[in-house]
Amino acid sequence: MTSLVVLLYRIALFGLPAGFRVRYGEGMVEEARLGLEEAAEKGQLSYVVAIARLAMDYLVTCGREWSAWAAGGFTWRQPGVLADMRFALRSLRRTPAFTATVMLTLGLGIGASVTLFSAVDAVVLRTLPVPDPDRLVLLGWSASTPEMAGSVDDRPVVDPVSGMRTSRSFSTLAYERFRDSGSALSSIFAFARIEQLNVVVEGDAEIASGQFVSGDYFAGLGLTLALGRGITPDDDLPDAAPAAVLSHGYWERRFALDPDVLGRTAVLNSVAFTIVGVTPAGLSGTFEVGESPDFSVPLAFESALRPGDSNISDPWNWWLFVMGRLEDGAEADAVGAERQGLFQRTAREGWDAMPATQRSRPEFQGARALPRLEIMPGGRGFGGAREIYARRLRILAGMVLGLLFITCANVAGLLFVRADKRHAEIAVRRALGASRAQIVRQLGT
Amino acid sequence: MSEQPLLSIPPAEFRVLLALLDGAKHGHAIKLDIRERTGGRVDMGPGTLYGAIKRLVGRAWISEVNAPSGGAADERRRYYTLSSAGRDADRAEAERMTELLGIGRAKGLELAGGA
Repeated sequence: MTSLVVLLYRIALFGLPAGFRVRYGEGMVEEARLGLEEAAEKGQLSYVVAIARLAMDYLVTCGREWSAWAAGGFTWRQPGVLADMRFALRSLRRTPAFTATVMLTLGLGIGASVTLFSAVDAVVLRTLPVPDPDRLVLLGWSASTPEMAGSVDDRPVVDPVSGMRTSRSFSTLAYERFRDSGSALSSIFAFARIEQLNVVVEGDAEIASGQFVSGDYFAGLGLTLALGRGITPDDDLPDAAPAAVLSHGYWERRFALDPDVLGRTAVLNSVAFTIVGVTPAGLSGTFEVGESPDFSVPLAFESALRPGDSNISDPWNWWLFVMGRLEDGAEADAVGAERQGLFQRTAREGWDAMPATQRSRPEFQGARALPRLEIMPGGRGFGGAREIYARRLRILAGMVLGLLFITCANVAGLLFVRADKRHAEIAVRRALGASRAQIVRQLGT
Repeated sequence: MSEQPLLSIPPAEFRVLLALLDGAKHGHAIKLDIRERTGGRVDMGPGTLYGAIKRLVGRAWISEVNAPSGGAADERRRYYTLSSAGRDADRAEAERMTELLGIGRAKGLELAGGA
């Protein structure tokens, strides 16, 4: 691998001014090789970083050396350079179809790659903007279908071969038992979507999105809020005063970043909440990419906000998502191993408590498998579904890279055909006394 | 303060000049010296390093020399040594920085390194 990168680097050096390359090229190649070998020993990630830094260094050097070269000797007034440029523009204008084709091809190729890269960045590369995102874990489970769990996860993954289903939702009872027992996690917190909130602020009504969060949610993520405070365990008590935290986006949209928003009242589904904080910009929450709940309210208000349709006290209703932060030195596997028995007992209890009307639903027919607890990395928020996207996105990214390559090949082909037609013209130029270098320069513009 | 005009040297070049203060070194040794002295914070890429060397050679502040005789020297590599003009430039830049630092201190700037 290193020798390949070094070879590419050596080729890339031909993009530098000849004087600089001839004198220092060997030293630079040697330097690059030593740097890469050193990075390779430190692991894959630092190797990738080293390659990226090498590329950056190269680009910066390229810009600097060429401008130094241009400052000493090269000028735009050098005979012929401007004329060549004018010639190039004229010939592009003379062949509008060719120009349009090349521009369209390049535009599409570059546009597609940039768009896709932003998607890959959001889904695969970017972690949550919290301290130590690597220490976050997302809890989930897998079971062979049909399983004894009433999951509300909107994107369960069913493995087509084994028939195993993976999901990430838990019952309130399971979350509470996880929280109250076992080690390895320094905090454990839960959250769930609120599909729709009717919001009234100062007489204006609108519909917003929201999430329930447990009292440890903000502390567990380690968030520093943009304004005010997060939901605390004291807010998450049945008799606490209703407190809500706004998302930065909603604060901007609805309140125009007004810092006096703290202490104001927002009526959510007929319950009056006091606004106590605003999440930092750039945090869209722990759900899917692009999903950013406008309000975060304590879990304890679930039954008040969903009158008649509450999930919180049903041990058979799997509606909560659970994340945790690993203690220093703890391994993710320990979290699962320690809580496996507890989880399966709780799942069984929930199943036994499920009313017969629910249990007779088609998806539960013949259910006998108990789910197994699984621990997934949580640093990118809602891991499971992102991983499904991630695989598709990687394939797509590969395809787009291929597309970009085809684009370049296409343009190269077009240019080649055009140049090939200029045999006669070039012969005339040569006959009239143009030097080889002048002709090459003209072909380059 | 010195009488000659105070000029400012770009950081990368100044670091290379400082690295050569204690004797001739080859390119890689310069890089390692800089990295070691900054606790790994400054890790120059090949282009940055040799770009700086090129400009310093161009100004005759450093010059290429044969590998010094001795066990540790690597004859295949090019060694660079500080010229007397380079040493002057080094001193002038250090004095310029000392002056700036003095202004900062006089106005109550707190420095992590202490006085």
